[in-house]
Amino acid sequence: MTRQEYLAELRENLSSLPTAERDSALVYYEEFFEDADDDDEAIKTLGSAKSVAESIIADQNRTEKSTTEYVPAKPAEVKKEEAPKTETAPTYFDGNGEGKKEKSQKSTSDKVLMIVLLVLTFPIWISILAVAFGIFVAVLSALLGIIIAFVAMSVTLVIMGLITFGTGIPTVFISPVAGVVLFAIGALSFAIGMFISIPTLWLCAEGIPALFRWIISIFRRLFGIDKGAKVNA
Amino acid sequence: MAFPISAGLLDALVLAIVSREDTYGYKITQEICDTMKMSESAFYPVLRRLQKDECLEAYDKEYMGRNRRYYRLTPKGLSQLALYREEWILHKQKVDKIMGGDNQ
Repeated sequence: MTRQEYLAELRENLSSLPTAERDSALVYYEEFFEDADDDDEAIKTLGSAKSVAESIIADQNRTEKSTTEYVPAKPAEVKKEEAPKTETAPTYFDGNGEGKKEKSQKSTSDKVLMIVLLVLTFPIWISILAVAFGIFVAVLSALLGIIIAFVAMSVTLVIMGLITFGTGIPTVFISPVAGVVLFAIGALSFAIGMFISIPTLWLCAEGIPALFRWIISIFRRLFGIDKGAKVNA
Repeated sequence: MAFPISAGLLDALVLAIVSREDTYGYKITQEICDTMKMSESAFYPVLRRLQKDECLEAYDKEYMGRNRRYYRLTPKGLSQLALYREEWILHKQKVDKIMGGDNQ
């Protein structure tokens, strides 16, 4: 890739930025190429134009958001000095613990307000919850019912097929035509049953676990149980 | 590269480098990459942010017939650097305490 191609790609990937910011960034990288030993070395150091653009945009968004809440990852006496970003991506070591205390002090009064509101509007949300729960159970039952129907169908057809076929054996000696008919019906029924058992087995193997996972994920989202520890709100 | 560098640490490193002498983007990148033995592409955002926070000031100087943008530390940047240095010592102590290792 040449310098011009790289810079062009960078400019394109930064198109979401305001013009001033974008131009400023491009000037920086143009100079970078100038100062570098050669273009290839520069590109190697910088990485892909895409990832450079992404990191610029990401930082842009971060700066815009946190103009009001500077949460310094610093001990208490340092709070007066505004410290730049602490909520950043790869941090193995980062004193975010102290920063979070500050945040939770602010939201205690919010929590109290929330609780009061919840209590006041109790009749409304309890009935909504009841309806939602009812619908949820209905949907669940319907889905389960479908699975059960599939199982029943395939099992019935297979067994009936076998029985009919089996009945055909003695019948053949009494009345060949009737016996053959029984054979045919039995075989057909057996075949259809086996055929249906394919989606049925798939449903049982995939569908039931999937249903369970769906139920669990709904509960998890409702009660906010997080398996992955996410530090930032 | 066992430990990624957080943005806070990167800020501190850049401030420290600029505090020694006024310098320009490429040189800052080189110094950090050479010492840390890593490749890191996020320097421009750091410089931009430090400028916005008024820790760094940029000025243009002519070099070999072209423009070169230099950065220098502001008083605010200097005090921010001092804070970072304190923080780093504390942090180093905490990590050493758990990791173990010779630390006077």
